[in-house]
Amino acid sequence: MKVRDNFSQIYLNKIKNKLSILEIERNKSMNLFLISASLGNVLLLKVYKIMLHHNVQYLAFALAAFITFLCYYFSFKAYKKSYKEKVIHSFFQEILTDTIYLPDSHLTESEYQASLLFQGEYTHFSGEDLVEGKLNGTPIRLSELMIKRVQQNGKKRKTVLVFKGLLAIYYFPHQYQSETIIEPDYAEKLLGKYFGNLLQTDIFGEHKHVNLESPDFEKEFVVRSLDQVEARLILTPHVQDTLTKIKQKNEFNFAMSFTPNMMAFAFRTTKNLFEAPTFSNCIETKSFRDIVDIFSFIHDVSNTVDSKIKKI
Amino acid sequence: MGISSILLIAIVFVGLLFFFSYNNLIGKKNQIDNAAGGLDATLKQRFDLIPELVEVTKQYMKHEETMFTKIIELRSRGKTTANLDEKNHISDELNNEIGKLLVTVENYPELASNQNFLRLQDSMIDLEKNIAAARRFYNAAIIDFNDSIQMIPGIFIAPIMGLKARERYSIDEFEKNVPNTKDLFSKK
Repeated sequence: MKVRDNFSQIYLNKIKNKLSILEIERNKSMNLFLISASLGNVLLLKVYKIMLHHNVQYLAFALAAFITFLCYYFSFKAYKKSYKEKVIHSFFQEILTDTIYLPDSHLTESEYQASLLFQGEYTHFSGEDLVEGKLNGTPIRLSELMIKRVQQNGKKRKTVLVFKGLLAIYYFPHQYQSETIIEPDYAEKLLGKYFGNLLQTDIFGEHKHVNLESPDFEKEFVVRSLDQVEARLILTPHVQDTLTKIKQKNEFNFAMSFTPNMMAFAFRTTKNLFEAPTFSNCIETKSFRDIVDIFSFIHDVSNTVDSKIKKI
Repeated sequence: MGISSILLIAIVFVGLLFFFSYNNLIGKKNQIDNAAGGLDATLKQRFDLIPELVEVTKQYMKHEETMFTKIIELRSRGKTTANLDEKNHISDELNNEIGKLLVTVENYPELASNQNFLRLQDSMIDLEKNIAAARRFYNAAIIDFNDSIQMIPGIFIAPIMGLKARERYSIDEFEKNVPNTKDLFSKK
């Protein structure tokens, strides 16, 4: 894929050198961590005899874990910060214009709600690694998000993960004012076309199921919209084919939406995509490859849609 | 559980099945009407644009009277007929004539760069896309309805309700071979 090749080229040309330097830093941090953690636990052993005497030896394990964690945190702190500045920030500066990277910020709750993707009741909303910039001259904002619902039932506490992953909002001032949501189709894959469609028919929801022409597209995606005609204006047979091909080449669990004046992309993942690898090789890190692939995907889709939908 | 209880459960079950199937078929029939209404409105919008297009092009193409006559005639027929299928057919013929007109526009560079003409071009392209999307929705609604009345349990209930399978919109054979207006506009 041409765009993915371009991104791979950017990675090879500009970022790989930085990753090589960072790998040296990672090794140093690892050595510091191993030495400090070992020293810390050796000192703890000396204290263990005293703890044993006072019958509080069980605290030793908790202390050992705490010491190890502290050593890990301080040993890798500078390296992790360096990774975000030199790798993540540099990558986005290459592919976006007017780039701003704020590692401790995230998209707002109203942006998440406006995206209509992976919605659900939640009690906790957090995130990090906010990136702002322009892609093809159009503003884009993205960040990692962690959204969960904590249910307290007497003494029992249950945490439900509503969404964890990357959400990207492409502020594309298009002419369509309806809401169309494209999500991965599990029902049709599991149950076949008839029962899958039956399950997907939400008679009470505002967004009605849209049945489209391409059987391959229908197998991969389920589409809901407030306006059946507008959904078909956006998802022409060509766009359906392109999205299907892109989906079949990638393993992402993603969803997309078109709402007034924007397109949103959500990628569900349990990984922390922007975090520096600590126990594995920096240069071969899969997380960074995943970021490259995700952004190639966003670029491909936004280009396909840009050419078909009129900007206003 | 006695026979009477089983019979009662069976009757309730059949009653519920009839209830939901009836409502489902009515909903799908209304969806076709909804889609037809949208398509009709879009076709009307296109017919309404024709006089303006003729007015702008006539100023420059003074010797193309036959072409304009045919376009105006088709437009009148399209506006007066209430039958959607006929309207669709006339729209396709109109598409054909506008395609021929646009090929001729190439011989009039002043017209091709006229602001009003360019604005009309944009409107026509948008309307073409809207018509295509509206037709796809109309066809999807008909397929959905036809599936429902040909599958169980709709196949038993549809005759009681007097519902029959409907015909989808299909492009006429001649239309398949003529240039697409949108493509012609896009080349400008």
